[in-house]
Amino acid sequence: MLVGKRMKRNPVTIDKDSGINEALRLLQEHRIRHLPVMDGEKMVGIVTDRDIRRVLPSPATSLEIHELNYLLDKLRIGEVMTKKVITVVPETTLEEAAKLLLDHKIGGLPVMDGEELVGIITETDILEVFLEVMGVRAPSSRIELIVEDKPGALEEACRIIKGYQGNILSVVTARATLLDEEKKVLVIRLEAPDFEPLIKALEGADYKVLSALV
Amino acid sequence: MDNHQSTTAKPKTAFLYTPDFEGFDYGPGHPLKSLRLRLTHDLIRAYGLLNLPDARELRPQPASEEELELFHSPEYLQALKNAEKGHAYHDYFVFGLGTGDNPIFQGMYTWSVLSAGASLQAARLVESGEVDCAFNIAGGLHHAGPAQASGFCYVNDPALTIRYLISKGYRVAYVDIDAHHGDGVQAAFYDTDQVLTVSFHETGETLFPGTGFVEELGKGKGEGYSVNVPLYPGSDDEIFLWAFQEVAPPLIRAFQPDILVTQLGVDTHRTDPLSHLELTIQGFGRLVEALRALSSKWVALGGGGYNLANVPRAWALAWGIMNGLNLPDQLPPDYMAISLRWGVAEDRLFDDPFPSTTSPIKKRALAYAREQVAKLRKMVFPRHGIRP
Ligand SMILES: [Zn+2]
Repeated sequence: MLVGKRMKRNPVTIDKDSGINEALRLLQEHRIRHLPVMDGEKMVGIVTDRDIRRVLPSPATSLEIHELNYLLDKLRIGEVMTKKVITVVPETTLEEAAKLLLDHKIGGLPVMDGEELVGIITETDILEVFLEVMGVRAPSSRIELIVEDKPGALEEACRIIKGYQGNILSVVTARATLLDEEKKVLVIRLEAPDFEPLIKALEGADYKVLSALV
Repeated sequence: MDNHQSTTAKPKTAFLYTPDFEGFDYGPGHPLKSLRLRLTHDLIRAYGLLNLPDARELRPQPASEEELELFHSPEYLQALKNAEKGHAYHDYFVFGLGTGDNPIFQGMYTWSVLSAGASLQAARLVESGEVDCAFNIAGGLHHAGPAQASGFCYVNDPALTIRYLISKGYRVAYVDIDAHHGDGVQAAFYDTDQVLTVSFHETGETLFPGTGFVEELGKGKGEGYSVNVPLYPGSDDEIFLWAFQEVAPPLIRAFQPDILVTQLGVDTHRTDPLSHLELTIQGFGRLVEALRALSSKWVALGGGGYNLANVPRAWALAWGIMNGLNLPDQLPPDYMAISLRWGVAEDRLFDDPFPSTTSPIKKRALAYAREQVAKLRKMVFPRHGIRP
């Protein structure tokens, strides 16, 4: 899945000559944490709630309140923004985008098509995809199996489930533990008329049923 | 080591390093990580490149205040010192401090001064003839202004180093292959003909700092001595190397520098999160080889590079080239054991070849490069007595 399919188009942006209060207002009003900063049509930086918090007065400051307010009033977004921005393109995969967010401990990535800002993708968008992939968004049941990591193990489990009129909604596989390379965990989301015989049949076929939420 | 092949006669070299380089932290969410320096040192050591007969590893000393004032204003240096101790608030922003790019963090002054000291030491070693080439991977912080932190840079070590060298009467050529325009260094020498600055970078139309266009030529006596080659997103090894060969060797041959200073940022790599260029490790290596051919006195500085998997490979390769050695493609197991702990799972020095394509992106990038190079040769070359 590509960033272009999941990004938010037409993101809320802010002009580089705006003040700190305007940024605060936009972040709160739209319940967002990232504002691309524009100079006309061109994106010249990004400002996050973290950047704004950093410029707000801390209790440790030695300045008088009126001095602080004066300084904050004078301060333009262009002066506090991050100018070297990590960006992606619509063709970036979601995995790559997720890795960038994780590696750099950031929450959002502007999406660029050449010189043009075309969207923004945030950790929220990626978590939503994760939930969809896990099949969590549809009402369903969930079975976790431990299987040998060998060809055919997944197909066999699916065949058994189908035999009991089960309808598989999603399958996710993961390594069982960091130490055991021979085993995999299958997380299966499914609908089925009757679970008891189905689970018995899986156990009968030598699958270890780790958990079943039906 | 027996698996190294000699390419030419061995130059004398110095590698500036101290574990103190590793002790700084720009904070969470910041792409510049000191770990990249540590891993580079680890890889170079694992390749056996720190105990070569003609190479030395030296511990740098911090730059003195007098040296820092070769380029920076005393007020700015004071602000950096105050900020490091957490004492600044009201003078943060006039100096570009406390922004997302240039956060205030503990040790920021100490770290910047140490990085600058290492670059100055590299210059002294080369200038005195003790070595032919010295490499400071912690240097190359090319964006800082005299009183301005910018683009992760607080102290502009290339500008300081060049100021030091021209104060001794040398003519200096500065070549910058970082993905970002070397704006701070260009501005420092915009009106002198004693320094030729040449920067190759992603165009300011799409990348910070938004400058570095061909038309920025220098002014007064310096007209023709600031050279910029902007490249379009999607430019790969082939395009970058072509533009480099069209511009750098003829200009530097005509300029005849006493000393070459280079900024070897590796954020041009195709997996770097901050730029949109498409270089491979081997493409970067070819650029370093081409730089090596330009001068026998060479001060090499680091620069950008924000993918931990790339920086150690690129700079170990560069250090190999500085020592006239070819490195084996297989990364040493000692290094892989260390790097895996940090989630870096590379096992080869070189990337898979990035096929030369005829995609629309590549075509656009090539057309852009051709146009920029033609314009540049027309505007700049005649000033150096070279035919465009
Ligand atoms: Zn850079």
